[in-house]
Amino acid sequence: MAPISIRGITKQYGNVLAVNNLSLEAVEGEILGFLGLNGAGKTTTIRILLDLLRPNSGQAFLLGHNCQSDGLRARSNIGYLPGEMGIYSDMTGREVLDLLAGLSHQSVNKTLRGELQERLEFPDSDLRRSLRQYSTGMKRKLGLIQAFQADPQLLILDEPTEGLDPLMQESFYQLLLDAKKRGRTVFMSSHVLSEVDRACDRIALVRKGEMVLLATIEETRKLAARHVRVSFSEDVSVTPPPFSEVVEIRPRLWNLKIEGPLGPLLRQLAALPVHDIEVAEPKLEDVIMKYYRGANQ
Amino acid sequence: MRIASLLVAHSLKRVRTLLLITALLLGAFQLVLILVAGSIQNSGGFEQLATLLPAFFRELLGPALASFMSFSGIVSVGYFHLTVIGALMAVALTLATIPTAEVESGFSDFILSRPVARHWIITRTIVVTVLGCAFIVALMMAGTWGGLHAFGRRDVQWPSSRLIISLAVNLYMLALCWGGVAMAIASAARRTLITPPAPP
Repeated sequence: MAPISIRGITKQYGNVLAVNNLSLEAVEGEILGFLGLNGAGKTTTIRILLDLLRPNSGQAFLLGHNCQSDGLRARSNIGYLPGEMGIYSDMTGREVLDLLAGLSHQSVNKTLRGELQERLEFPDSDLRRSLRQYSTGMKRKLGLIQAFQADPQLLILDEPTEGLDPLMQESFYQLLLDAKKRGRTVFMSSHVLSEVDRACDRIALVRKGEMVLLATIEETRKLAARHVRVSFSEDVSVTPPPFSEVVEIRPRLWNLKIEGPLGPLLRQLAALPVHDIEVAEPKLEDVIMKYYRGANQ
Repeated sequence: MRIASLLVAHSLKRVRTLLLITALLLGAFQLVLILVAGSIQNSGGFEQLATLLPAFFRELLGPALASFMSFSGIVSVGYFHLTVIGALMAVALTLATIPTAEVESGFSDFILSRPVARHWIITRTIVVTVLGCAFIVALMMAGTWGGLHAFGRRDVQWPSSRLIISLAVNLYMLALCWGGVAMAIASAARRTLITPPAPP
């Protein structure tokens, strides 16, 4: 049973197609990054999963339950962190945590809540304050505590590190890893590619409401062109191979971008007076940016 | 039921100041009316007031004039005075439109992302509106009874219990009706704060 299963959902707002025939399946125990530019359909998809929106067509399932026809059971074992923390500012942090815990069918693990507070540096004195006294980062931390506090089977996080300082981001990544170790599944949307690279096992990339990439981080990285810098001990007049993209060329230096295996290049270089070769590790950002720009369908 | 109780308790806690202040003000208004009616009665002003009215108006009101221009009539005004009706309507509309505020602020997303059925949002609002308005009207009636027993002259006719209850129920029903209309409009509200998707 996949924790998240989206089968061909389409959502239209008037003439605007927000999500177009989107299909996706999360694997149990993985951290799945959900990427896309603003307005790509990420939040709409998450809202459909939580039955805050109804799709025009298609079906979505959480933990094996249909999000629309069996929504209560579908949402019975999930933690959710929305992108915007729409909470009344006159409530205290504790009131928020207790209310949201009470509305869940899961019992809140007080020990876990205390541990979360400690790891996110959120003391009881802060929980007694009203939200109008909270900074953006504190609200985010409170949001994370409420999402994690019942140790749900599935976590749906919308831009989880927005407003968190680097130390808290580090703590958050540790929380994710611990959740993963306990077999929890995490579905998180993010704009921070370094965060996705670090925390996620797989990424799902949407553009204009359509899924354009669903792969592991490693597979995605392999899609990037590698930067190869070859220096020669003497001037060479040979041109670089046609399958490479020339970034810079000088008599004793080739600076190339190569997609795919390096074998053909190495075969050509074998006959040349090579002094040194540097191959930079492909960057996830390069692939993602390429998809964002729409250069690669 | 646990979820409903939690939501009702949460909403009542949030509006407790509004409810308490409105109820105390309207309750105090009943006391003031009783004091005013007593004062007019003491000075024999009801007869003078009646003579001040134009003849055609007296004829128009007929026997009802006697009811209005009396201690009992002035006390009863507390249940259909424009200020009282306006204040109670304002509270009813505020309570009935709680879902709109929650949708706009995004708080409803937090609630509905839990295993909470959508109908509980409306059920909770109905319960809060019914309880909130009932509390205010009950305090108004308490103000009337308390005021009559504390300040009302014993030698004049007080408004009957039946009359006060009937006027209070009338006012309560009016508040619920307008609350219902507001709730129907509020329940159909769409969130406008959310960022619209980018055009393709």
